[in-house]
Amino acid sequence: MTPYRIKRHRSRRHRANHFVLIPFIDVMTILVVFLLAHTADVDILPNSKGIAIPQSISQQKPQPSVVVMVTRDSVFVDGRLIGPLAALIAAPGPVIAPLKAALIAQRDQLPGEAPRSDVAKREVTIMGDKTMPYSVLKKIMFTCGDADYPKVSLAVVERERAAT
Amino acid sequence: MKSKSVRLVRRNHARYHHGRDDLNIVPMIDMMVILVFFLIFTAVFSKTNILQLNLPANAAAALLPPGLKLEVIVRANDILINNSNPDRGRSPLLDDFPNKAGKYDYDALSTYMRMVKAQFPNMTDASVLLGPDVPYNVLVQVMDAVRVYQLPIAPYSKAALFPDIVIGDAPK
Repeated sequence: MTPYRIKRHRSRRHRANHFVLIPFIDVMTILVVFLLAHTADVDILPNSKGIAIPQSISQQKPQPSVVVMVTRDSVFVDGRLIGPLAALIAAPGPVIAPLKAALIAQRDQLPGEAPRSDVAKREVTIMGDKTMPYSVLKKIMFTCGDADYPKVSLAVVERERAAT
Repeated sequence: MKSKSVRLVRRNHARYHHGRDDLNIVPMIDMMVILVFFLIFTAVFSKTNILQLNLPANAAAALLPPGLKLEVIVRANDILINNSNPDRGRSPLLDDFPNKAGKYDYDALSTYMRMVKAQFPNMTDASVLLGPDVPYNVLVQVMDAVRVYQLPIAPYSKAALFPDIVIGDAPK
């Protein structure tokens, strides 16, 4: 049986010492601040996880615009499904009619006043899969032009230096 | 030697204040950990940029500089470089870069573009003409090679070559 005095002495030594956690909290705080700053420059373009878009050394930042996303099998305009790619491409004629209709409907959703009234300021960004053949891209670009969007940009992933 | 009553008061005081003077930081750490995990999972670590295109619809043909209208023709198996200045008629082929081991020869294209830029320093336009089955990735890589030259070593500085690119169909 341990005497009460010794018990009391031992229990005094075992207070939780929170100060060992301070470096941990420091690291956490730095990480939180870094990640917040990293996510602060919000991507205008949607996440491209579903498709592999090509890498480029382009430095140009995306502007708010209508986004046409072409995955391996479907076409989206600003996140809304337009239809399966194969069916859209197989349709005759140089213009993809459902895509054109969606682009025209999307004009009213454009940010800012200028693009709604001024045709020359309307902009489309195409996010295409790496493997998309040029004939498909051509049809999509032609449709964009036909739907009165004269500025077309291609979305790319930044690469620090050119491939060797 | 202090009196017994003083010691008792001290002891009660110490017991009353036991654990009251340290900060309770555990909930804060919990929140931090949750926040860090949330931010890590939502973070996108690849930056997305754009390549601006000039659609060939604009009737800018009148502003052509004399001497050269550079055409880069990408076909299934090679990259051709052509001069199609309308003043001189379609001149013969300037150069041809066949694919190496199934891949387009972007390095040779880049070297050639730098040579052309050295001879025509004021020219900024070029046309990239593609065959119907050329993948989108090749278009972007060819555009990069035609647009800018980037040093392959440490400073990675860039020099603009022909940034005003027009895209079109390859001639049959």
